[in-house]
Amino acid sequence: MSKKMIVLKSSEGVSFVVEEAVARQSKIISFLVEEFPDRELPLTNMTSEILRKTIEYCKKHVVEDDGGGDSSSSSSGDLKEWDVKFVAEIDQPRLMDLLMAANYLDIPSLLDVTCQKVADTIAACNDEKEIRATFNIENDFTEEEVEAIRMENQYPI
Amino acid sequence: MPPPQARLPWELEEEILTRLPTKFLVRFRTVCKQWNSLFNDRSFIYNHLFLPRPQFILLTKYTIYSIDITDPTMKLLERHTSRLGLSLHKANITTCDEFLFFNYHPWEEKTSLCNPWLRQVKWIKLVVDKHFDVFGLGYDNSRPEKVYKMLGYMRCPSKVQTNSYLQRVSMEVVDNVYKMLEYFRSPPEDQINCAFQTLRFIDTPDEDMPMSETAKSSHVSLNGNLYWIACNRQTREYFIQSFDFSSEIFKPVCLLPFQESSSCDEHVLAVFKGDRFSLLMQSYLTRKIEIWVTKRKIDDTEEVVWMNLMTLTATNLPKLFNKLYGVSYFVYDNTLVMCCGDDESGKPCIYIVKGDTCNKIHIGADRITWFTHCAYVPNWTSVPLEF
Repeated sequence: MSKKMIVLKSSEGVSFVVEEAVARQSKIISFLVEEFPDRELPLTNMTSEILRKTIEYCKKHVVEDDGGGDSSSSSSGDLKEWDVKFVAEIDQPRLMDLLMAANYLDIPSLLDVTCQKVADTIAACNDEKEIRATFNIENDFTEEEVEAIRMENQYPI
Repeated sequence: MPPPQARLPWELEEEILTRLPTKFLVRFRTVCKQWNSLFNDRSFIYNHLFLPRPQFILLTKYTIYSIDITDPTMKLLERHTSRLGLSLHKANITTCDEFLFFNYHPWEEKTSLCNPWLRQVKWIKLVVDKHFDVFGLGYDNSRPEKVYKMLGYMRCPSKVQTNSYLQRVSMEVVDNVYKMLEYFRSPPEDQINCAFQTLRFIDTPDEDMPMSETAKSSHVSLNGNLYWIACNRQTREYFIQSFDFSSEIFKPVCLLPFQESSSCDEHVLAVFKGDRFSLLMQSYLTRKIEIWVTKRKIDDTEEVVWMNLMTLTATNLPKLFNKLYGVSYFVYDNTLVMCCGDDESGKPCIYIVKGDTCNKIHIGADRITWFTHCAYVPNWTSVPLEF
């Protein structure tokens, strides 16, 4: 029996043909394919690049439940390692896009690894200025307010 | 150059910040006001924040230290010093929910509530004309807002001239006393606002000495009430005594699970998993340690059921009896972690006991001559500004 395929379309209008089981890791797609079977799903706020990345992640994480011998699902340790490598290879702006995509498509495990990667990036920043620059956050504190918070939380380490 | 990236939606930023280790607290609070606001959001703190495992807080004459037992060097991390205006000498520390409660000698006429993790201190000045000996701090848990109360006793001249008797007192802390914001300067005396405190005398018989000196340093706080181990003088039975701060009455809670235990055995009560009790019992004869825990959370409606969590039989277990500065412990990840003085030198040590092995680690240099300690779960709860 051939596997059921569905078509996802990026914001640039590029079509991606994906196994349904792979795409169903997104709760939104899972819902949409039930509501609108045999229809291609337009994902207008996702670029082809991000959609390709998302599909790559879903393919790796799909759990084969048809009992086929050469299941692509890996052991959880390998998978974790793969995830780390997967997010490490993505640059900061694209990581944010991927995080947004994971949130939009509702893929909890992908949201988890991307959020963790961003948190690690914050932790790696040397000071709050670097955090603001990395995440494009405007400083709405006065010097005195920052000093007051520092005074409240003097850390020995 | 690509255009500057738009900010993430707030719920995603929150999702990311929950994964940040607590040691980046300051860095994260000073980024922007919205990030800082999370710090005051109780639901964020309770639901999302990764809480590290319990630590020990060790108090020496002038310094508060924390000891993270996951650090193999068991380094003493300074949390607070005398520069902050705390005179620590001879203080006694216990916990009250997320805070440390410093109980000084009665002549100091003050106590303080502190979160060493946040370096926040609140002083409670005792405005009583008599010698008021504080036993512990709790709060009325029947009201939506926490009304803190103190339990203590006064030595009053009794009606029989030759004797004095202990009068139990509960004291309601009504007004904000003092919050120390300038941490590097001792508070000028005139800035300490006096509190309006209501004294109520509690009429209870003194039969079983429910408020012994030992209990004062070893009682545990749970849901605002105080619990400690007491012994019935008539039946020689050990039981858990409590003081309920909402109804202001003393209540026995349950018997200890091992009644055959001799009076020489050591019993130490602690809170387990946030809402249950754990009980450490060391046999005087065999030195074997048993850890018992309650099956369910402690509340008034259900009977307390004990179960044995572990029995530790390592041959090099310390003697926990008659420790000058007491024993504090917690159970984490099937491991018993204890803090107490060394059997010979009396210097502070951490014991990590698992299965039939017991590792002893000396902490701090030999200069520590006096110390007090307790187990404490680091948290981000701000000390209340007003009571």
